[in-house]
Amino acid sequence: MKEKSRFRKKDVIIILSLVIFAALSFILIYLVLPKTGDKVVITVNGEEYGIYPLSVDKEIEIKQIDKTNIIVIENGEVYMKEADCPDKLCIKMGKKSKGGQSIICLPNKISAEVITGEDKYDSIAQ
Amino acid sequence: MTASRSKKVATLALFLALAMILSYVEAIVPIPIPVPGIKLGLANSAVLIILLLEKPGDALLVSLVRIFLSGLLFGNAFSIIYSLSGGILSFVIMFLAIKLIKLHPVTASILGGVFHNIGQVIAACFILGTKAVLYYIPVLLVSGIITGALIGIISNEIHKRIGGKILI
Repeated sequence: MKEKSRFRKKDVIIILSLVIFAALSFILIYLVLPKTGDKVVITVNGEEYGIYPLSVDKEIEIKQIDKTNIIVIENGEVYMKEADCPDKLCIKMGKKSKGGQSIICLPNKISAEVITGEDKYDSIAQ
Repeated sequence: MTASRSKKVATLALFLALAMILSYVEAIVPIPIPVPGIKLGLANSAVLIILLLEKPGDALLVSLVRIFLSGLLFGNAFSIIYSLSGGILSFVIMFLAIKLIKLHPVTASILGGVFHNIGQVIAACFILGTKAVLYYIPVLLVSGIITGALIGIISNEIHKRIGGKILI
């Protein structure tokens, strides 16, 4: 018979370090880092579709062969207004305005990422 | 204990059917958190139980066939890519955790849940061509830990109670 698997010290260490790592990344990415963003980078199907300032209200309609998404910039916030994807998660993600925050529509392969001024050179370098 | 060939085929088919029913149940139950990629991973319990029965090859087989079949039935080509990258990474991690580091099944399942989500995020980065997806990593880490723990406890209890009666 094989040795019965028991809960050992190494299990506790691994689970604890995972929990701590997750909690730290949670606090860092959602609470500490976010600064008010000023631009939105929209990527469609792996290619940059456009960069839009958050300060100018705008409605961006993205049409792909059989898919349509409408992204709206309003009062310094960006949100997905309409999408014909099956899960509508992108619409439920709500309004984003802080640097690093993003709206993702996996089925239609669209992302809208809020960036701050300092990130500008990053996105050019890519 | 090894079963006859036909018994093995029947048992694995049973596990595959179970895994597919579980993927279907997941596909129709909405999750209230608006983050792409969060799910319970119920189908992973079938894979984990076979892994706990020390049949890693069979576990991988059931996992891969399940991903292709449920992807064809309830998803599309891209959902298969997401599931594959998550499924393979989580399988490798769980296999190493149990076989090599000899971790407890629940710990292995938690690692599996976390790395399943990491695999999916990596796939999404490539498919969407953007790092914007990384913003959701913390939520996915937390959900991977919670769902991995649940699936691990369920699979471990099932294995303890009826594991000896399952012949593969």
